[in-house]
Amino acid sequence: VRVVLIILGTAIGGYGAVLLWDNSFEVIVRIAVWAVAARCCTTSCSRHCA
Amino acid sequence: VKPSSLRGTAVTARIGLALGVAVAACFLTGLISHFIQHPQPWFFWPTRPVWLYRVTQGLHVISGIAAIPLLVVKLWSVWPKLFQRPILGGPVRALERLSILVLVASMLFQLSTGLLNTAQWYAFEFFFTTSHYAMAWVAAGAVVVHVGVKLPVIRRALGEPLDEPAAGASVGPTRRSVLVGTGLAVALATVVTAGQTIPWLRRVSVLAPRSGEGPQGVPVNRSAVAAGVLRSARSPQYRLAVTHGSTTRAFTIADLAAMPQATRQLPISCVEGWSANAEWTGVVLADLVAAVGASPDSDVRMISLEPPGPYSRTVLPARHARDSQTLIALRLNGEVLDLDHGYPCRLIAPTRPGVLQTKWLSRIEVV
Repeated sequence: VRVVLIILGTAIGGYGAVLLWDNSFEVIVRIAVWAVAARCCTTSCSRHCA
Repeated sequence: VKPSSLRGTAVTARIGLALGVAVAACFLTGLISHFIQHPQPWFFWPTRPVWLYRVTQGLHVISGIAAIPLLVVKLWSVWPKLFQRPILGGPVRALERLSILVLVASMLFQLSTGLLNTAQWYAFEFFFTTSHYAMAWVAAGAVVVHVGVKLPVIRRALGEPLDEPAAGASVGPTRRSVLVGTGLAVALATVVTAGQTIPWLRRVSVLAPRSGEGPQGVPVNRSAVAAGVLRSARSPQYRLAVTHGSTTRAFTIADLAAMPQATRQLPISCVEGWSANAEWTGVVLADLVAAVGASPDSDVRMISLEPPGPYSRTVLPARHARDSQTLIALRLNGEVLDLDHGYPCRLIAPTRPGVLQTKWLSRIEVV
């Protein structure tokens, strides 16, 4: 079951990555920056709460 | 009680289970909305019940907002583990760490941009719908991989008692109170925003971006000024052209008003999650399609007076075009359509996103 889930998840996520790749490089960078910034903000919040 | 004792796999797994349910609901309802806007031959979307899209898109936004406190608490519950040494280690651990990085970043991306979209605040400078759709697959895949990697831990943790044996003798918050607090946070986040979808919650939904306010009692996303149609919509030369092949008929507003009128109670439901009931009056679209001799089994293209843009022309599938509930509306809640609601006439059809209910119609093409 674990192997099936990992393969399935990788395929689903890979499909999303291909869809993202259709964007221009500039847009991909903006999306990545937004994702990393959101992660940094939230983990800082979690650290503060800890 | 040391603060760190509140964390543990028993808490993480239970929060993760709730988060998984919220994410699954959000993902599936998001797919529905995507395929309505980008129809595929295999995709079937019914015209009844007329409030169906209102429910699915309302659930999409509600489950997304509910997922925010769940995600924050889940991150808090595993916070020290995220920085355990070695950061990468062997290939298996490196893979696990990478999947967690993708999972957290994609989930936060989805929830933050989705929340901003409900407020129509596009601080990010990329097209929301395509990136939100693509990243939804990334996030969904990362969740499935994460469950696969952690399955033995999840199974064990869900079977563990929530409170440690000594917890009863201790003073202060317990793991159970963490879960109760999280549940209250989810309930609060839901109640203060869900009123844009659920009318009886409107009085308490103080953070809902749209709660039934707007001209003629219906909210407006895009005004006539923003669409640049002030002059063309009020022009005495205005005509609605209906075409089928080489046949074209042009209707003045008076011509449309002279045709048999129908009144329908239909909600208008926006992709941002808000929705509102309204009474629409106008010409049944099927009558206009018949007026140019077209088959009722044809798709119909709606073209707005707006300058060309992503939603200035939309295609209405035949199933919706021939439905007797689908109108070219001239009146809203008993009054002539407000300019911001699409005067002189607009499309209103059941189970469709508001963004596809084309306003300020200039042309209808049977395709």
